[in-house]
Amino acid sequence: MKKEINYTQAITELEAIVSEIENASIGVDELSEKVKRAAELIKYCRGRLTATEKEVNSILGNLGNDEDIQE
Amino acid sequence: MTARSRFKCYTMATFPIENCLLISTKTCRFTQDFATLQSQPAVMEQAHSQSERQVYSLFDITESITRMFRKHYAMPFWIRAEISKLNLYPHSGHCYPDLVDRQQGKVRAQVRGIIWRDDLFEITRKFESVTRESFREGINIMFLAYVRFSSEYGLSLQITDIEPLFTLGELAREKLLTIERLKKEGLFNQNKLLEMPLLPARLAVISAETSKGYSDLKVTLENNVSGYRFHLTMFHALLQGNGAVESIRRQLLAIQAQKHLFDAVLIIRGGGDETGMSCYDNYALASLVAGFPIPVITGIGHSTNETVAEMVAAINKITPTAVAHYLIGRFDEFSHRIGNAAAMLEVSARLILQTASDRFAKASEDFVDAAFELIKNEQQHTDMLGREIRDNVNATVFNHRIALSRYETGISTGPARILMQSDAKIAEIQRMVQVHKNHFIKQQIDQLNHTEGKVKLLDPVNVLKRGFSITRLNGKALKGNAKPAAGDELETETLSGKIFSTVFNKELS
Repeated sequence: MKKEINYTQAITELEAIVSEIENASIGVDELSEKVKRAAELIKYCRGRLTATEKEVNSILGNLGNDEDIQE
Repeated sequence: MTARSRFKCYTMATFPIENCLLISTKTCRFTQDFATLQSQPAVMEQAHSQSERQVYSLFDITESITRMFRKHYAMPFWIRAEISKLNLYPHSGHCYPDLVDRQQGKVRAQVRGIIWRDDLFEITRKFESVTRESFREGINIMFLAYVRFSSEYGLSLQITDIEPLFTLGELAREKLLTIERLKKEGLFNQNKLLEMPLLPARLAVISAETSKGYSDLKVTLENNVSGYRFHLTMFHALLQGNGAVESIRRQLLAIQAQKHLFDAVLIIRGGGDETGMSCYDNYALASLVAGFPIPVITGIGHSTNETVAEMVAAINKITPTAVAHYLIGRFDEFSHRIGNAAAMLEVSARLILQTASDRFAKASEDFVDAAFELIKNEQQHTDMLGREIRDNVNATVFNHRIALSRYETGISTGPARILMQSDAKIAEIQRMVQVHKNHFIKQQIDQLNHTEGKVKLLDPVNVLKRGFSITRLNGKALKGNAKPAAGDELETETLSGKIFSTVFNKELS
């Protein structure tokens, strides 16, 4: 898997593959290759979501710690 | 009034003949002498007419008159008249006043008076003790006088006694007249209406340099405890008695000419006797004071009634010292006002500062409160925004997770389905193959058979069998369009063998 890919590109590609598979517009020859790619994309996206969630919560948590006002 | 009720008094002009009858009761000889006097001119006239002149020396005549006067005017009369000129001879001590009788300012009788030195002393003493006026020119007096006639000096009135109460009344009347006239002319309050300068420091002083009054004024002003500075300019004048009116007027006019140099005029008198104060009731002086362009302050120190000049002056104090205290008082009052203002200023300034300070403190407090309130609100808002962000992120992440799960499901189930579909297709084909394989072969066989039949039908033998033959010309089958010529040899094949023939005739269509 290419390292440069971002979440949006990943999800777009994934959606295309899923759509192809769901519409059965895909040949058996490339099937296993596409499924393998889709699985990779899903894993990548999940990882990104978890990381993002953690990061956001961490940032907001830090903000919360600065709430004491200095007089 | 008193004088009139007590004395039978004559003015010099109204001492007419008819009054003689009244007088005659006092002196019986009067009428006889009077008759004698009257008869003499008649005698003279008679003599003249007869051209028999009897000539008298002047002395005879005057002696005759003298005798008549001595006879008929032996008793003195009470007479009222004005002293128009005093004519005092200090060396001899005698006085020869010019006595006049005025009516509306016009002299209607004038007689010379005589007061011998001893009488003068007594008369002056008596007069001054009662009237507090000097025996002087310009006053009306009531006197007891002998009517004298001397050959040498003519007619005269020898004054032996005086009624000062009459003059007192006259002076009072004059004073009233002055007041009335000033009021009528609108002058009476004029000087009082002038605004006294806040600090009357430049003072024109009408006084006598040597008088005690001036000295009192000066000492009191100079020794004021607060150290105020007064600038006195001396205008020397007579302050009482004869000539005072003109003297004071002259100085007032001199001051008026340079009025811008002075804040007020002081008329200061004091010490010595209090005679001759009636000059201050004089119209000419009082009117000048009343109409004076700068305030006049009087301090002419006396115990008698207030004079007109004092009445009309802006300020009147009895004594020069009181005048000085008044002036110092003005300064004190001003100083007090300044002191009050200073104190007020301090209090006010303090109050303003305190108020401003309070306001500032309150504003600071409000500011801090408002700032905290604002920060608190912003905090809440920020918190809310943070929560919203977190919730949105979480929701988005959740949605994406669901999508991913769906995609995963799709990925995991999709291929199986595709393979299954492919399997099904193959199975279908297999089944189709199974179903159709016999039919297919039979069909092929049928087709082959059919084709075989067709092929058999086309065999020429079969045609020959059915009775047909093949005629050939020169080895080639003769077809419909062939046009064999006569003499041609034809070969005809039949099922049973060949027949040869020659074309004999032809019948062509």
